[in-house]
Amino acid sequence: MRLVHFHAFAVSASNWDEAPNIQGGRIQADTQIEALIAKNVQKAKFDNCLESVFETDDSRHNDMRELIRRHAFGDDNAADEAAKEISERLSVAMDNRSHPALLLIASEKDGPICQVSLWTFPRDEALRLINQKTASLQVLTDIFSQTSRLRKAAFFKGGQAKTEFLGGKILDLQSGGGPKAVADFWLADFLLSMPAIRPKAGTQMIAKALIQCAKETADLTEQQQLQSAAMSIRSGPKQKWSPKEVAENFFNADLAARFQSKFPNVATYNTSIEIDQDTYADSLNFAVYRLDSGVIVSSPFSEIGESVRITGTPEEGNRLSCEGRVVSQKVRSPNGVR
Amino acid sequence: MEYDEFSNIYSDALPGLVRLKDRLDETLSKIVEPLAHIDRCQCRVKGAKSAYKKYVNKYANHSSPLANFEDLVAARIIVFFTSDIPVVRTALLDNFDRVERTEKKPEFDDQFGYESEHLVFVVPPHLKPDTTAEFCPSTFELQLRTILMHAYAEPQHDILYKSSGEIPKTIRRRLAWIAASCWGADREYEELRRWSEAIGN
Repeated sequence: MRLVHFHAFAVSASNWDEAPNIQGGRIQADTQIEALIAKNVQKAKFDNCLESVFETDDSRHNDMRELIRRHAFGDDNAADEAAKEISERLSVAMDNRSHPALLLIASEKDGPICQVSLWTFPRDEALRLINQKTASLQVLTDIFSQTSRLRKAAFFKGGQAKTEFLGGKILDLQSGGGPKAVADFWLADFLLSMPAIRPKAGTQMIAKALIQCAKETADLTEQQQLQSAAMSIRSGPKQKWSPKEVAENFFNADLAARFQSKFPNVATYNTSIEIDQDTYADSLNFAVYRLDSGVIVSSPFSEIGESVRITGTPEEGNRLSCEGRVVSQKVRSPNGVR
Repeated sequence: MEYDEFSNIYSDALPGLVRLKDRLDETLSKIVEPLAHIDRCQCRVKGAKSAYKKYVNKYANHSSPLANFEDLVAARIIVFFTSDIPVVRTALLDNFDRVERTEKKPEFDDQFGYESEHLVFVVPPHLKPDTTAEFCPSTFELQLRTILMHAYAEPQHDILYKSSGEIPKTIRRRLAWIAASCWGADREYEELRRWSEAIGN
């Protein structure tokens, strides 16, 4: 790949009704710059990142897709204009919670194929020790961190056919881990994109994998791990889960391997999925019941309708019956502390 | 590019296309299973000769011969009534990312002809192969129409596809009459469906 266009801008948040807060422009490529891009592309491991698609209208148009293609395939003037508009869009997409950042846009070419990578590195502070006659510390405020967990990246590759540059790979370590408005600014507000697996389809896949694993294991520990995963996905603050994250957070190695085998490929296993709670509840048929006596019954999803039976109507009040051999017992204080 | 060269490229891509078609068949069947009024849901892989004809007519200038195709793997869902079309579309949009949607219909209000909804979707990660060695297009096309739209479209395509040169005016007029009849019958069926629902069927 040969670097054809490279732009850098310092970007801060701006309101839609004021001039975008950007400074920067085209950077002449040299071996150091090329090495910097290569290092960051390698470090990002885009193959394992979220797969995204541009949110198009009925005629395939998406403003960011057009700008990115113009940066990739256009001449210097077209790429300069596209880069400036991309940086302005980032400034508007950021809000006061976003850190000022360095935006890098790199287009590399190999024959008819181009790859475009966009990076934001948040502004950081560093200390420099100046040790001349007397030692002193200098505070550097105009530096940007390449290793921050707040850094974000997007990667697009393809030719000029209409079927290409429809989506890319996204690195966003904040995504899905916090309030939706902050987490989604990079993917939705700036890149005008969405995850390549629709929430409903992805949620069904996760729920189905949990159910299959539950049916295949008689091991109580694994059943508990599956229950913990099912409940956290349902009621935890995290809105997006990749199947891999589910496995890493809740399962032992054997169960994780079986869980992974339920997904068709590695890309799906690694893709972050926005959980559609209605679909999840419908698919999983998993519930924690609180009875009028104060008893709480937590049932593995595979047992509902089997050893755990719900009868009656919602109007009359459902009744729960459960029967089985006790294999372990735990004592907890009322607030849950053991 | 001559047909033999194109055919060789296509043969290499074919196993991947067939596997994608199988995965898509399974996925679409599950999506339409809970929906009412589905006549059929089927997928197909484009034949090499048909692909070559399209390549020569539309994509011959492109360096990568298969890059522009969106219907190498395509699906068709046939529904009973016109009001079923948006229901199926919504179910599809819950599962796939749409890049293009076209309502195919005659240009002018006083014309009758081919009608269908054409959607182009991105092939999602869970329908892609686990290896980059296997060819997989980035998109697939899906046609969505009623039985009566289909009743006009298929024989008409067969007749026009096999004919060469200018279509005689009388033939075009007769085809338009069939299209108009199907259009009218679709509206009648829609009315009857509403009547059927109103009486509690």
